[in-house]
Amino acid sequence: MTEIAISGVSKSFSLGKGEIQALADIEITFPSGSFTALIGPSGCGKSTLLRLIADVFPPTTGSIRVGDHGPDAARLSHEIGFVFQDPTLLPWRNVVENVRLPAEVAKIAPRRDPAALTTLVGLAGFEEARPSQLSGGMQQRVAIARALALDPKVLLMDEPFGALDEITRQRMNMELLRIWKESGATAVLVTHSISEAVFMADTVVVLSANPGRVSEVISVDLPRPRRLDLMRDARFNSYENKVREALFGDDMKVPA
Amino acid sequence: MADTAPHQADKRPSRYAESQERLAALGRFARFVAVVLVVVVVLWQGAISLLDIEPFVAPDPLSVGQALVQETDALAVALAYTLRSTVGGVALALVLAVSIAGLFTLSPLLSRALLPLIIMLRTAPILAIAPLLILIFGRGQTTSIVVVVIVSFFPIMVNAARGFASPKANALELMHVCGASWWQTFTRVRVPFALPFIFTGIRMASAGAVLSAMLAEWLSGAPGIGTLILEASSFRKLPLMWAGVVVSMITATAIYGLTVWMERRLSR
Repeated sequence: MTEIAISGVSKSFSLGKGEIQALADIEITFPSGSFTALIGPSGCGKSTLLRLIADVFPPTTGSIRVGDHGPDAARLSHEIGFVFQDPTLLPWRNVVENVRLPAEVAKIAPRRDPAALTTLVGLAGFEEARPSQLSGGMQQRVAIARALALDPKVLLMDEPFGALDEITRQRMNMELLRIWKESGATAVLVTHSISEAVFMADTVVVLSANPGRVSEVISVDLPRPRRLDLMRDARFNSYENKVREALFGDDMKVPA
Repeated sequence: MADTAPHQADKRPSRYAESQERLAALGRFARFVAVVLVVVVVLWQGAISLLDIEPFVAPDPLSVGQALVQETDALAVALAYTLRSTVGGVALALVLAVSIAGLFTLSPLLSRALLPLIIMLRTAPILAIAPLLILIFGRGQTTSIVVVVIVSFFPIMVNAARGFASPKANALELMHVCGASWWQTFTRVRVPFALPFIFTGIRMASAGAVLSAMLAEWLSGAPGIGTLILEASSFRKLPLMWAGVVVSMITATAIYGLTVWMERRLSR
């Protein structure tokens, strides 16, 4: 199916005269149909990694495989859905028109009915609304529906709920899990919330900064479907602590 | 669902209230214009009577009004000529400016190659190149249009270029991930985001467009309102000359007002 394999990948950006290395020696595989969370301090290149998979830019060295082919072929055959941190809706289009955009651009019929997708993300009745008439959480729902419009095999999310309040965020995460399960896509979620990473993912990849490297891969062996009461579970807390340990290491023992 | 948004009915006034509001605004504007006109005419007449100004220096409002009525045909023909140059020139400048600003989004190299040339054209005083333009394009309307294009091009191009660069990186990345071509990204994202900027450019250009059309007529002798004013002056037909001045001022203001209105409609 659609496994994402990243081997020996590094990425540098030229900044004026100098050069900064965003990622170095990345070696990970995201199994088909899995849910992976990328977590790390800012500047660790987690968004860059996501954009490499989406073929926004090519890696400096190394190779990436999405399913049977490279990221460019995956992108051009519309196998990739991307959700940005801000909803990135076109303000002059209503909800359904925004959801239909990828199909229009691809010049193919939507692989999933835009109206049904709007209902799936809980926006039934708002099909004709303009983005400016929706709250932040509702706008992000539209962005998720848009990412699913061409039934992608890979769903990439760059801190999709980072700008939302804790309560809305928790609810959106529950719905996202339901939608992901139903779509069967390989999901990669960039986040900076430890509990979100553990709650959502099969595998939490912890990155360190300057340059971005994989410092630890933690597989989360918790049953699905996951409910909110899982967060009170001792196993959940111990996974959280593992991620925290990987992120902060010896700094945990330094007094504030 | 917890995250509810205010329904559209709560936010926007109804259609009826909106049209009433607009009518009231129009009424206020008409009253304002009428008051200004009366004040101007009173001041004008007052100044001539009080300071005892001779009619060959400045005619009184009544004789200018008479000239406006008697010479309506000549004024209308001249105004139509100048308007054709103005509108044609701005339209051509718009097409050229938007195309070139669009090309700049294709490659930064192209913009670095073309911008110095464009800026050179911008800094060359139009009065200096006008004789050259008359040599090339003759003493007809073409020269007027070319002058208007040269003056209008720059503000439209600069604003269009800024507008095309205004979409956020995410919007462009979204189109890229969807597999959009340059053209699709341009028409579906860059152009809609740039429209308010382009209209600002048109508004800025239109302020100078009538002026530059008349200037071209002064230099080439083409039969527009600029030439009418110049000839009326040399034949000492002062009321006609002043009538021409009044007509050109009203026209320039009207064109500017029209672009402001279009810009406001669009950016709502």
